[in-house]
Amino acid sequence: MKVLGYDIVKDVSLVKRLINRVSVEASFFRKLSATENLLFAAGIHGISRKEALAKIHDLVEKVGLDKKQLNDPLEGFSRGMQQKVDIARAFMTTPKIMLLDEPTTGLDPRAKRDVQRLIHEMKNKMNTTVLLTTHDMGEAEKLCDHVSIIHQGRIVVEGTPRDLNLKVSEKVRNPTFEDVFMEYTGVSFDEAEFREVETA
Amino acid sequence: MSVKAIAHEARASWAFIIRNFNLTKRYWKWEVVFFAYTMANSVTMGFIGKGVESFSGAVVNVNYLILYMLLGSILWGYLSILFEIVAETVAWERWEETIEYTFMAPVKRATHLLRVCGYAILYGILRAGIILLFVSLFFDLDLSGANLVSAAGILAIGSFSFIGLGMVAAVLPLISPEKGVQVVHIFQALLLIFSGVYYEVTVLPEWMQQVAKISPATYALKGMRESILEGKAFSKLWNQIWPFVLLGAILLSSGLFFFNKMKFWAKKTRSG
Repeated sequence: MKVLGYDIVKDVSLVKRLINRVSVEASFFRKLSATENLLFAAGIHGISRKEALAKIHDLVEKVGLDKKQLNDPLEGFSRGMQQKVDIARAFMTTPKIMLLDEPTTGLDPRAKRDVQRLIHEMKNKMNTTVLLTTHDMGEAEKLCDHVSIIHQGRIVVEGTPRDLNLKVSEKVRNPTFEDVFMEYTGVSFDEAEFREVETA
Repeated sequence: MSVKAIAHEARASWAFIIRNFNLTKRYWKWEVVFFAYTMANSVTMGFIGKGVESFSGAVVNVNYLILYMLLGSILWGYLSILFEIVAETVAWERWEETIEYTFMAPVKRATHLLRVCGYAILYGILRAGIILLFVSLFFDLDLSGANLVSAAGILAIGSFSFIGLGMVAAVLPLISPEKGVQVVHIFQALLLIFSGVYYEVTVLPEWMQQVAKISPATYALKGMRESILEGKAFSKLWNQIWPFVLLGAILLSSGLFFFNKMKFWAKKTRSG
């Protein structure tokens, strides 16, 4: 298997340099400060301290973090704030591919909107390919240029959000992206959840 | 390896050392608690040495005996800190769930583990030195004939072997986050029992003496005792140094190999 032309086994180190991620739970050394965590992440990606501090300075403004808080332990940060630091950490390495695993799950509406705006901006400014997995259909429609709906381990449909909406609009009047999901998975949300629990 | 790649690994190395230093700094109160515990163990060993004369009735060189016991206790404390830092680094990353990020970073596993061990060695030697100083003052021990530089050198050289064992120990929390760290202590106790921690290896049954020959702790204890009790210079400790170098080469490479194998297994079985 290859990623951007590199073999994932033979060129593992090169592949790792091209990828970064943000997961559903921001994982840090919570006793350490945001700066200490970000400097550690930069260091293990081979970024010098000087360059890392400049990047932190720049990214902190972009993600809307208070600079005064950067030296406080992360355990005192809200989930939304931690997620912003996580996004800053991931973009600090200027990855070519960014994996986002349900980055806004469990956030309050304001933090969710902030994080979505941030992802949108970073994706455009840094020219990064973002692979987002989400159960939030509104988020998928808002953030994605191309969507694949996976049902029972298979891609059942793919295309731009606009194209998928158009296809479904022939059957459903003014469809939402949730209607698109229902149409292609063939089940209601309740049934899907029930099946998920059954198979777990 | 290109200059760029070397610079990359050097930065990663430094990042691990600073991270561990920051963690030690942040948990300094707990460090003080565990330091007091190690100190209490060492002082207890000192009192056992001091008490031998009173309950055996024999006339012994108390200064020599206390130092003899103390060095066993210091090595016990040193190995505790070494194995604990290495094992806890993995355990820590499991609790905080940062291990996936660390494993995803473009850094060689050898760099990751060796730097963690490097920090543990520096911290462990500093701690051992302070304990030796404190207990010597407490019991008014005569260290005028001791060669402290030689003892520190032995500990540093021997640490290559201990790092190899530490890497094997680091696998335990990877396999079991709940019990792995505790098992590391059992592993350490077994190692020291075979190595003559508070006694000469010659008092052990024959089969245990054979095992002692392949334990790096045997040579560390012997080398440290010869440095401190007999004041031998580092250059005169060749009999302890060459087994260290040999065991270090074997244990270091096999420790790294074993860690990588177990990491792969943990990933495959989703334990890691």
